[in-house]
Amino acid sequence: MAKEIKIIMETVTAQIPLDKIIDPSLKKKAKIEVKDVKVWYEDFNAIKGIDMNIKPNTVTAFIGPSGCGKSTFLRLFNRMNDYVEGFRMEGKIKVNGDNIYKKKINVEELRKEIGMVFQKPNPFPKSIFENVAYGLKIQGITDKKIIEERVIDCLKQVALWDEVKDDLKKSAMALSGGQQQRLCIARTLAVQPSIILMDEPTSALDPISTAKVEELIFKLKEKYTIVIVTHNMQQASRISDYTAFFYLGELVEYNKTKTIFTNPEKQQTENYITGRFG
Amino acid sequence: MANAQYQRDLLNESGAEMLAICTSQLEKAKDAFLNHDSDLAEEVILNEVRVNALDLRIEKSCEKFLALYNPVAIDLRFIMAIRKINFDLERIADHAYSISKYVVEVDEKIPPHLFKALQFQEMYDTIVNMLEKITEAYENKDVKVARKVFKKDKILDKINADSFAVLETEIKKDNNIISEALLLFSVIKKMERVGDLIKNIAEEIIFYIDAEVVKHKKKK
Repeated sequence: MAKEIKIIMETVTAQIPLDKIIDPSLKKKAKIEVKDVKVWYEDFNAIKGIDMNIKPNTVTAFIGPSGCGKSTFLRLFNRMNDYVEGFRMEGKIKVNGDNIYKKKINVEELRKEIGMVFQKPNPFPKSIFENVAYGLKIQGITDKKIIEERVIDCLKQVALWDEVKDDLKKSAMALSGGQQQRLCIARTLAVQPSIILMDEPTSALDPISTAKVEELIFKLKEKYTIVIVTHNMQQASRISDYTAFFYLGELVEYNKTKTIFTNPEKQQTENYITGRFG
Repeated sequence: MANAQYQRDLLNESGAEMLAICTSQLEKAKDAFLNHDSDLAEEVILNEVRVNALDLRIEKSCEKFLALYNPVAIDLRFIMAIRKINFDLERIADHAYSISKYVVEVDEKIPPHLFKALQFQEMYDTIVNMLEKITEAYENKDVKVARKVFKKDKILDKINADSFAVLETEIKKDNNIISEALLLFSVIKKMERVGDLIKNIAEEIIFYIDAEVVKHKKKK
């Protein structure tokens, strides 16, 4: 949890020049290219050489049994694994053509570009408004009008505005789990990323909140590239355009979601999605 | 997921049972029609209730499986296929029922030379062979065997296409057989339709096992 807070703080506090505060729709569409990536934690080989291209403005779901390496792989994209002791990586990950593991990379700037939503909602113990505005203020934006506009826009994007517009000063901790998670997504959007990573974002939510977050994910792909880790097969099939099945640190199959869930190429994938192993 | 597998196995068994009942219904209807055996025809008519009950049971089981187990991949194809196969089999049994009704309601024995002229026995033997093939394909999940049905269906199409001219000739020879000829013509049409339904079942078996859609495609 402490690490998650650190990442969020780093994400929202990344300094950006005022002239760069632009509409996300005007930003470059973000693609991710992964070339022969291998990961070790000490001696344990968690990822065993994966190649993958993630297309802009798509939702890509990572599925696989616990311990298969899908979360490790997701966390490579905003360099969250850097904090794990004994972490070592080989290969290249490019976001819009830039290798994000090159030495000169500004990790804070990278995390502003690649937002992250975690399994459990983790709002700051501040008001609803402050949660979304926090990153902007830390970035040095003082114009109240700009901040207000951005907060309203983000709350609208996550379909939370109508529910909280009269209670913006209320503590975020008083919101329901589903509302908190959508607030966390709004906080991620406020710093205008181009990629959003989600690590089981609905596993702690009830079906109604899950449906709202899923609807939101579907809507957000118009502007953002989304990568989501999920244990829920139906969720992967409902919301994603592409699905990647991981097993024992390897990418077994990566294809259009429709193909994976109707006629997967590999027997291992079929066995997993039909519940015959895993 | 062990329960899902168990439910799937039960459904698979029901499908096999439906296939067996409908095959038996059609064979009995054939014998009843050929031999003008109204007792056997009555048996087919009475058995229709069993077919309908099994049809409903399979429908309900499919609905339950879809709602409770969210099937994907081969499981989803299986459910989609079994629903259509069930529908087609029920239609085949309906044809057996209609033929049996003719036997009971129409008190006219078809002259044997008409059966011969129309290759009626060959048509029925072909259908029985096709039913055996799809039963084997269904039970052994064998698409190669399922594909053999397509060629056989062409034999039925040919007999059906020729039937009009054959009967016309026979009627010209003897116009006292008009009503028998019309009755036989109607049964031939039903048999041709049964062949199409068996072909549909073969297509569904191929879709279920190989995920290949062969419907509306030229078959080799």
